[in-house]
Amino acid sequence: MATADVKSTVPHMDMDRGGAFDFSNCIRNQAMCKMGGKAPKLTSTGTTIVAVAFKGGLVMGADSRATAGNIIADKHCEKVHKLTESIYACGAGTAADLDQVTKMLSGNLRLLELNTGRKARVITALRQAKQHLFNYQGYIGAYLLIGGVDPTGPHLYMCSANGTTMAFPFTAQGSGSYAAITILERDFKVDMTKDEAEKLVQRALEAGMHGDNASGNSLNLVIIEPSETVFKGPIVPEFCKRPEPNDLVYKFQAGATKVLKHKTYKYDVVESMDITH
Amino acid sequence: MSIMSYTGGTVVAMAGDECVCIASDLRIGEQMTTIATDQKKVHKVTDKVYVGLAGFQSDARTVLEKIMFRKNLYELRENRNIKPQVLSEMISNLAYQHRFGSYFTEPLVAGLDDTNKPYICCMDTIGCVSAPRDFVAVGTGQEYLLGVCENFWRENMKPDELFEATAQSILSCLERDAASGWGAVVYTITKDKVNVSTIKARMD
Amino acid sequence: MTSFTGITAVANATNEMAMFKQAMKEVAAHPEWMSSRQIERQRWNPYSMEGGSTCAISGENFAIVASDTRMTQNDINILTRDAEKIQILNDNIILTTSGFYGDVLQLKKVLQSRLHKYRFDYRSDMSVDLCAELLSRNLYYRRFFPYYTGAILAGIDEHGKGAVFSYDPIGCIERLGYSASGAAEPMIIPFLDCQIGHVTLSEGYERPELTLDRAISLMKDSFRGAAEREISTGDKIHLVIAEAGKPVVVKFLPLRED
Repeated sequence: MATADVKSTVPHMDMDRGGAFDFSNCIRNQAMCKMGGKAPKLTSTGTTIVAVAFKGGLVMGADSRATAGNIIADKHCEKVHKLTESIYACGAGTAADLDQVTKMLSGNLRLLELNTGRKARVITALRQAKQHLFNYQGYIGAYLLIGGVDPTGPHLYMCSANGTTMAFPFTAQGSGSYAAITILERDFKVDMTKDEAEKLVQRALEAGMHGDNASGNSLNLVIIEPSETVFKGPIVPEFCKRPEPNDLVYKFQAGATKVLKHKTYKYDVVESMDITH
Repeated sequence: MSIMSYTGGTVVAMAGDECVCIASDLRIGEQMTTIATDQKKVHKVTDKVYVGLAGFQSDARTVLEKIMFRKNLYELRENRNIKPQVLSEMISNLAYQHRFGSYFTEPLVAGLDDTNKPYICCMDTIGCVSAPRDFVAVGTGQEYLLGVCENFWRENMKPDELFEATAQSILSCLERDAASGWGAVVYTITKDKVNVSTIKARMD
Repeated sequence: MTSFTGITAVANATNEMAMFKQAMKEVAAHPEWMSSRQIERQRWNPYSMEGGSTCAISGENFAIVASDTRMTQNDINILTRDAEKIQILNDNIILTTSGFYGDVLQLKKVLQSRLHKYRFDYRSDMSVDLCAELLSRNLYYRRFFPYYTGAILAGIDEHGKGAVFSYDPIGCIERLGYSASGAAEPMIIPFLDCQIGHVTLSEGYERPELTLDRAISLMKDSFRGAAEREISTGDKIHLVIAEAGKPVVVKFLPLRED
């Protein structure tokens, strides 16, 4: 067999595709769906995310619940993602997409900062996000609020999964946004103080977490100002605490489970110095 | 029928005080028909790090091979044992690479890092990591397990308590999950040894 | 829906493989993303699910019933935080239903009127066994346009013993020691299997007796656990306790609200 033939018949092994998507399973999966299989449930952040601009800065916040269908997949997931020191992104939509998109953005922005020696601008982050998302025509299900402070002032943008972007003085996203936006619409004022804005965001988030099934557990806030960025969280509102502890303690004594076979593998314990941190 | 429940199978992990427990059932089916009854869904990666792969087992095998390949490469390149945190990030990236056209398997990582701190995490099919401090469950019995574990898990359990809690959780789950069963196996990972126990369970 | 699935068909493996290959070919020729994206047309659906879960436990001389009080729209929106899913039909019969709330209300009305008529005709309250059978027939009567509910009927039977009857939407009836239905059913049931059924414990291990206090505690804990992990369960536990020879007690206990 000629080398070319071998190459074409033997599936070549990719060690690393450099982070690009691998579509090799697409046809198979579609065929499986055609045979009557259903696609699995993905973890989504049916979320409440809120952001408000105040005089000279920006407050952003998110709840911390991730859901898969009607069960809570993660009670304390991090939805406020750091892009740079003074640019943050909150995400709603498919959880894996959000993690990866924000990871990509933070990497790219850091590189940009190192290459140019200046702080990245919010509009840069936004443009990168929207170009990536537009490329994939909405198939990457990331709905982002990107906000931060740069030399041109505080900015807040919304970027939807198909690449539409808008600028806002205040906004909310996710399934709890309806409840949250009512609070914002009622109480938002131009040029609020930092304290007022922080309280407003917290109240809006609490409204979202209270009125929406898919949001809750705890909330995280980030307050971005030109001089400093403060991260607060997780804050657990009163209604998110367990109202009563369990009545009984479910403790099993040794022997509660019948063990049929038992094997122990001892391994050589190497006393390690922790040099990683 | 969802592809995720085609072969059936459940994996659960719980974290304790300097120990973790990871357990799985042993059944493989083809929808309602049982094909094999000795299929562990928990695989050893290093001494103190185990990975569980629930979901469509054909894909689980493929993914396991890819995981081992990447892990070996990492250990050769870095000349040190892989930490569970690193492994989960690696699996997450692997899964996300297949964002469109995913592998129908939900990975779960449980292990102790080099300071013997327990680490457990689970992912969805496209690699969204959730790493709580208490317990994780994936597979067809996920819902059943989450409800039980919520009551059975306590802070700072010692290895034998942790084993009982995990074992009772998976047994309760097997009681109601038709797609899992035929016995269960529980791995208790502590800082100096791993206990592997096959426990008595429903054989159906 | 409860169903008995035996070996329906051992599929011909080669045939299935051939079909799969064919499907691969078809999909490769016309991938989904090449065609314009299909809009799945929403067909009108007479049913909706309002979430929530219910549970009942019976003991030697008591039966307790609990449900949460949240009503949800589309799994996301909270419509009300005090929807009642438990109906006390008479001193011995408690009905609890989850699922489509319209049918929950209708089923309650149907049973109430039937019980009223029974009382009018026979000058005594119906017993729980009779009511259980009546409910089963009422459900099966609508075999092809069912009440979309998972009903549980609990109460004290003629011998003074606790009784729990569990139904599927079309009237398959079963008398059980404990039962749950609704969104958090998969979370509650295995827990009760372990704590009341004791099916997971090894022989010779201590099995605490099911007293009324223990049953109430288990009920509360199972709802607390479910509310932690299931999004449409929460707000309040509506707890109804029926003990033989005593009046029915109703309690409300707080659950998490997020």
